[in-house]
Amino acid sequence: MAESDNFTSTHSTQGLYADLILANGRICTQDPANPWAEAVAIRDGKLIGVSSLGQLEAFKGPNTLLHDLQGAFCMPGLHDMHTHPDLALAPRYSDDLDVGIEDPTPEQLRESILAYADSHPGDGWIYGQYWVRYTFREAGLTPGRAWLDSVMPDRPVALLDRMWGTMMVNSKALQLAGIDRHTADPRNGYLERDELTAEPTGLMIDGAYAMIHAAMPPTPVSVLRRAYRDGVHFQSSRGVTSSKYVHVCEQRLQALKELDDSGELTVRIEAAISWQDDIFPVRRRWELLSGERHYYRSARLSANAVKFHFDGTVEPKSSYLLTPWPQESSWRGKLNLTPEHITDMVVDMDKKGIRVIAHCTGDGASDVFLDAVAEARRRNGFSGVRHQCAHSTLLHPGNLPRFKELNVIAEFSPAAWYPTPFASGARSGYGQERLKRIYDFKGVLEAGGTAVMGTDWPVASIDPWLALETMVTRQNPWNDDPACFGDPISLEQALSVVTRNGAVAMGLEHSTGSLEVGKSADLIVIDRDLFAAPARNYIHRTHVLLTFVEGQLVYDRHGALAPAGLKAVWQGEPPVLEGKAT
Amino acid sequence: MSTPRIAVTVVSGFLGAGKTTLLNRMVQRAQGRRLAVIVNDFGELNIDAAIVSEVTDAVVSLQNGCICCTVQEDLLAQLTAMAQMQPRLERIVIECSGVSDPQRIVQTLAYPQLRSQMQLDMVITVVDATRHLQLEGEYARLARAQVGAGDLLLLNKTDLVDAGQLQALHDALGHRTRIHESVQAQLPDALWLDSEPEPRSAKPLTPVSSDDHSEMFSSWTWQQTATLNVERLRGWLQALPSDVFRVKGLVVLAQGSAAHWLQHVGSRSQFSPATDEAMANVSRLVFIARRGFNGWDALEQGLQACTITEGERT
Repeated sequence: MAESDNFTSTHSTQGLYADLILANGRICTQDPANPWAEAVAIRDGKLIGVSSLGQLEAFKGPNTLLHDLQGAFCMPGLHDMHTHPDLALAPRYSDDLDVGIEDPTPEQLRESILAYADSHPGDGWIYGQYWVRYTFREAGLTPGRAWLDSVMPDRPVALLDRMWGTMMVNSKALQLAGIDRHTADPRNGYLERDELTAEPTGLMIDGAYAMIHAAMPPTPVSVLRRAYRDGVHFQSSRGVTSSKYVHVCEQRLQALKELDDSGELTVRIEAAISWQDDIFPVRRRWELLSGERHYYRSARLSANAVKFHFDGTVEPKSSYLLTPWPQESSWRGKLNLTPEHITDMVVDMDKKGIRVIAHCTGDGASDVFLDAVAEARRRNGFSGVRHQCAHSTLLHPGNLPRFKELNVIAEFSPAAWYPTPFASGARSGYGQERLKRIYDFKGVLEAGGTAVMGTDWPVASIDPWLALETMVTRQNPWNDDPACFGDPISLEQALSVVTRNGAVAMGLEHSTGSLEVGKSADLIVIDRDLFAAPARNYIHRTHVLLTFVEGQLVYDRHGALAPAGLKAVWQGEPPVLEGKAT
Repeated sequence: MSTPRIAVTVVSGFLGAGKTTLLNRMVQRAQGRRLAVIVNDFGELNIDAAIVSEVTDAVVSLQNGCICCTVQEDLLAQLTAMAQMQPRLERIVIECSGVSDPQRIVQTLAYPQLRSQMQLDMVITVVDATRHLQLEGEYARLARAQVGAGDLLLLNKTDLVDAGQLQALHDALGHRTRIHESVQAQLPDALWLDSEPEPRSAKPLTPVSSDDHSEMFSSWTWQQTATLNVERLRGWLQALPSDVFRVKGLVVLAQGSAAHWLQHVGSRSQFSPATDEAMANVSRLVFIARRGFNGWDALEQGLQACTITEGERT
């Protein structure tokens, strides 16, 4: 029989004693009034005591479980305020066509398509990877709709090339996507066309993929659910208790709700509904934003947020800057939406109590976004909703105090806040002067603002400890290269970034982010004292031993509490989700 | 004709194949042409300090009119900026990394915002005769991708291999491909720079006397008051013998009786509308072929078969 619901409300009854006491720990509470403690007492998911074991004696009843931490370091759970397990994992779990040959000949590709069609009968899409151009050239053939039509004329087919620049589609796919010679090119790519007739050849370049994706059925909920399950499994076993899954649609919310209902949503999730269709289509966007989102709501899941892509990225110089890019006379980058669009949208969402999370890499994009929030504050007053400036790769120094003034969260993602071969090449595009103030945690914190961390997986590693270490070092964590990107912050500051500030960014500062009486028991026990050694090559090696969310044991590395009858949702080593970075 | 589009030459080739040597030659051949070279590292270029007129952040300007800059992460933005340079550039040469697939750059050049400003003229892939067949695994695949993207293969270091090895290379590279053998990456101007010979004769297919490339290449023109069927013309272009390196000129196509500029190199045909061209009823083409090529009669017959006959017209 299913367990009874056990929600607490004003007049619900409470026990006298703690359910669990964790004793003999080195407990870093993140509560400025009581920074260190030895023991915590938990009842109904909440902390009822944070002090020494002696002072918690009164909470010890006949059914209280007492667990000895044996001196282990304990702290509030980590907050990863921007990540995408679905985007990273769902493609792996989809049953798409995988040719499975490095450079298939057109003949091998043909056989592979036909075999997939046989094993997946019907008239559905055939979507997959890879093909390469040179084998077509070698065979004297031209890739495109004509060739693909000769293989599969009556089912839509879309295949990616191995260098990820081209998608080859057949005529049926173009027809279903409503693409013909009158279709305009997207801003971030193009349709290859016959020069004389303008008819699409069936080769979709870069951003033109999205036009085909929009016509395809959405990723199945079962695939998304598996991706999120592995994501939260990893995050719980790395000590994350709150996270934001930035970009969701109705399918993704359904997958998260199913996990929640089955007791496997072991991280508090704020899911941000996509404002644009550039990653995947959101078919019920307006229903969700006007109220349907509440059907997914629980203590673990909220969709009271919306995410949009405001500017681009460094690599194609599409970040929107206040002054021209290095070696450019006038090119400042691109904004995907007009300032007026953003202003009206922020004002409207703010009124509805929906947090706006804006992708802003360039200092020009965040400037326009902060202006939009200023207008929302002017018209609505402070709604209680803190909007979020995502990535914040470059910030104008004049905007640092505005994060506090306007109650906007500055979120930084570690993709390139420390030197790696990838980051050093890619980020150098900003120029030396801008590179010095890249990911300016220190600037925002010193101006009194709330800075948070978001791993932005799969752009960077999903491991929060790597982000935590490099916030403090701003150096490569795996070698002894002295190079440093931007300004480091202290470990104390970094810990508040990943705990208390995260709670503020979730709108949960009254219930989590620090270990205080009355707050939720969202806490972790780890294998090392973070203050005991220099951060470099130390913090990122941290192992998490126990993770609690709302007092529930969600992760127990060694099954330490199993003998006492407390079975964690997840046990053992964290799942391996990514290759080793360098 | 409106402002001509800037011609772009893409130079690809595996590490050590001879790209830098080729680029050095190209810089030397600039001679007053507004040429820009985008390289991976201009420390590698053999730029004589005496001919450098100006050095800025990432650009070296030479007294012969050539400018050199390094590849930036975002080629699209870099090229967009270069299209605005005054005086206007005539040609841009882009060196690809030795371990990259040049297709990415080819695709960038076709972006709508660049298409009106520049035109990919050709991809030259430098092939190392001494090492090409020895590459393995991912390197071999990359080298094949480079060859596959090439309109012209410069088979370099042929002095270091014997006849048997040379034959094996030709077999491996395929007989459809335009291959020019070289030592020290010597590339005749005729293969990459415009010589623009004007058709002088009224006879349909005529040899053009030529100067600097007279030893290796012959150039012919074809001119006729004719309208061409585009499907047949495309088929004919794809079947051109590999001794024919380039075809360019003006063609009047049956579809809408429109005049188009045609440029064909390797297996790449490009058509662009010739809106303000006066001689809109005359098709004329210039051919550059290997000296000694003797298929002119067949070429002419093939072209003739592309013209619209009286019967089709009615």
